[in-house]
Amino acid sequence: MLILVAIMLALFLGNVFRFYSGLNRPLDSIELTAGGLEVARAYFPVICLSGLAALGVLCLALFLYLRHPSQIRRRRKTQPLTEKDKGIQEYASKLALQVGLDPPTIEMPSHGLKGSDAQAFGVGKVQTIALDGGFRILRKTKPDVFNALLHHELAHFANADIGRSYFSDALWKSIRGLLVFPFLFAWTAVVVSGFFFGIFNSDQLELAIAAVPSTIGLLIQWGFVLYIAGVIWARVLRTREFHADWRAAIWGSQNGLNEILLEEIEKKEGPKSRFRVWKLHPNAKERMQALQHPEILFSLSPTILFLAGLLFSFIFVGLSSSFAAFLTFAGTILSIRNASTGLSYWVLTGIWWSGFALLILFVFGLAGWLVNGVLLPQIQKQAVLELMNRQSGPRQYAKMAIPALILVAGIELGFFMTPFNLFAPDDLSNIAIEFFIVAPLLTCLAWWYLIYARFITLQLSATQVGRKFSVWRSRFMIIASSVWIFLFFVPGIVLTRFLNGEFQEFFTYLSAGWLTFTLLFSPLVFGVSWVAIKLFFDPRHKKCPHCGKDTGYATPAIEFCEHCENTLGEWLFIPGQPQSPSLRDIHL
Amino acid sequence: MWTNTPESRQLVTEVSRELVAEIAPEELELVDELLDDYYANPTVHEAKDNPLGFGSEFLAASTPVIAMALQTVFSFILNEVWVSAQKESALLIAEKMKALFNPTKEKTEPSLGLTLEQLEKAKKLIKKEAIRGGMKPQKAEDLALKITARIALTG
Repeated sequence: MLILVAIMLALFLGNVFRFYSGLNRPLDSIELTAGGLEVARAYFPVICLSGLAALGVLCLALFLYLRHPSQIRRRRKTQPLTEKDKGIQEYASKLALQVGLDPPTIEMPSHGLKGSDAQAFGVGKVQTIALDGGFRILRKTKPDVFNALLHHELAHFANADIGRSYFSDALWKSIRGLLVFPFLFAWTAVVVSGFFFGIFNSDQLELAIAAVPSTIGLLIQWGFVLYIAGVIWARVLRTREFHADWRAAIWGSQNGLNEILLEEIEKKEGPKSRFRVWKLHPNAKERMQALQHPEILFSLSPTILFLAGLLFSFIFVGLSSSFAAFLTFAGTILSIRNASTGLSYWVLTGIWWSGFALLILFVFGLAGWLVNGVLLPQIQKQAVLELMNRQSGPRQYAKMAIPALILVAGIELGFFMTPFNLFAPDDLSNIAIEFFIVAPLLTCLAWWYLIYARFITLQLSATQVGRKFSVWRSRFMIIASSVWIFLFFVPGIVLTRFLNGEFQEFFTYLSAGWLTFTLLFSPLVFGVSWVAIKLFFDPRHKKCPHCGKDTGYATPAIEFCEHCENTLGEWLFIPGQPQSPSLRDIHL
Repeated sequence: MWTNTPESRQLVTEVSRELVAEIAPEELELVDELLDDYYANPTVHEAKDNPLGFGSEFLAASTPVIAMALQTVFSFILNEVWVSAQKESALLIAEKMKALFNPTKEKTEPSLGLTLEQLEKAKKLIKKEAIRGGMKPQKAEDLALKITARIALTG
């Protein structure tokens, strides 16, 4: 998500340049013919600048990400443990092995007995935990606290959030360094130069004054996208802590975590931050609350839904820019093709159409995959939570209408807030169409998608027994829901963007055709998915992973074996499930 | 400054050991090690604002905080109560201070004791210093009470 926002911010930079170059037509108005070649050429520097800015941000982020271990070592003054601290390494390795992880390398300052902060980091498969000097004391005086802090850091490895978190951090730094200041500088330069030259030339001044609403709009939109980038980054960092705490509690460190958090609560009775979305680290009270009511970690988050909606619209602006970039080359290809005969003509025609089709497939596919990747785990968690709480039936499916509404609200707002709102309605009648026809229709389609995703995740989760969730079940869920969103949701958003303008009639017919296709085929896909799940993932007799005997439960994942009384679905990382003695002790 | 002399450190170690036994008995065996570390680097450990760390400000050990609080109260007594004693030898000050912090020992100079206001001020100072050192407010209050009670009993 953050990568896409970074690309979006890079596009803003290109758009400022577009203003500066005096190109007032938006990118999507380029003609699809060789006649548009001149226009396309004029836009080439804009596209290059946006592309280079995006590439620069990603490269710098990668560089910063690869450097994070050395930076942490320098800042915390840590180094591999010496002989006198060998016991800490051995103990940490033992804890890691107990929870089924590879032992991490422990690093500490060479001397000192102060501090109790810990930090897990590493690139790729290298797992390192940096500890403060105070751990030398904590190990001897407060083993519960020592274990809890180590379990928490190990949980980051188990949750596989290290790479994502550090890359997000690097990306945010890169955005700030390469996009924020250059944008502000370029924007100010455009505004100041417009008015400065206006002093000597009245035409220039009129142009500058006419451009004021657009330039202010650009600044507001840019600020909004930057704000979203910050929110996503902060959310990534906060959420990882809650999940690491919860996993550490499951591993038996509930008491140690309570002790740490209670002490912090007692120390900090300060006022709450007014901007919760910007907080980079949850406070002790929030963490304690998440530990006591972990179900909040497993419910569909309105913020995530909203951000996923924004992501969708951002991708579409990216799509229009990709089209513009393609057309700068396509115009040349078409010119050469028209001057060719025989085999060359057909080869160039093939290249042109293949590029066109690949671009659409790539962007649509990427859109579906990314948004589905964000939403599916949330839907699965919510579905399993409801299963645990014995909440089933049509009411649970009906309740998905609210998340659908939030998702579509994010999409609509996103279209207004992307550079020069290319796909937002621009007059009252179009706004009315957007809000009274398109948005309700998209909400219904989003609801249909969420119902489908909930159905398959529930079916596949309810019958899963054992310690680990099957890879094939995961793959089925991801592929099926991605295909669904690709076929029955993404095209709806694309087509409804062109319901006004030059090709209104063509796109209205196309939209109607696609809607008919969706209404006819989506129930069929639903049915086929159900049959596939029953055939491949739901054998009549499920065996207990402990005693090997058949169990007769319809939803064995949440039950105890009727023969040996052990938990059947140990994979469940979910509140309320008495899956292990340590979890039973938590008394949720 | 007397608080930096070996005599002062010796007294801090002795009194700290007794206070640790009451406040943090689990650290009793580590008192010497912890005090050595404290004297090597007496600055308070500042928890860094690190969004990718655990974010813990859990106090790893109470001993250095107790020592820090004791040094503060020693300075307060020397600078504000025994102003005239500042010119005396380190050994003599140490003996007086030792007497002040040892309620069981026979009083040699009863006039060395603190007034009620001075005791109250010392209590506030100790609590503030202990909180600055990372101790939670309730525990800091407890420590302040224990230290001032010792002084009061000798007064």
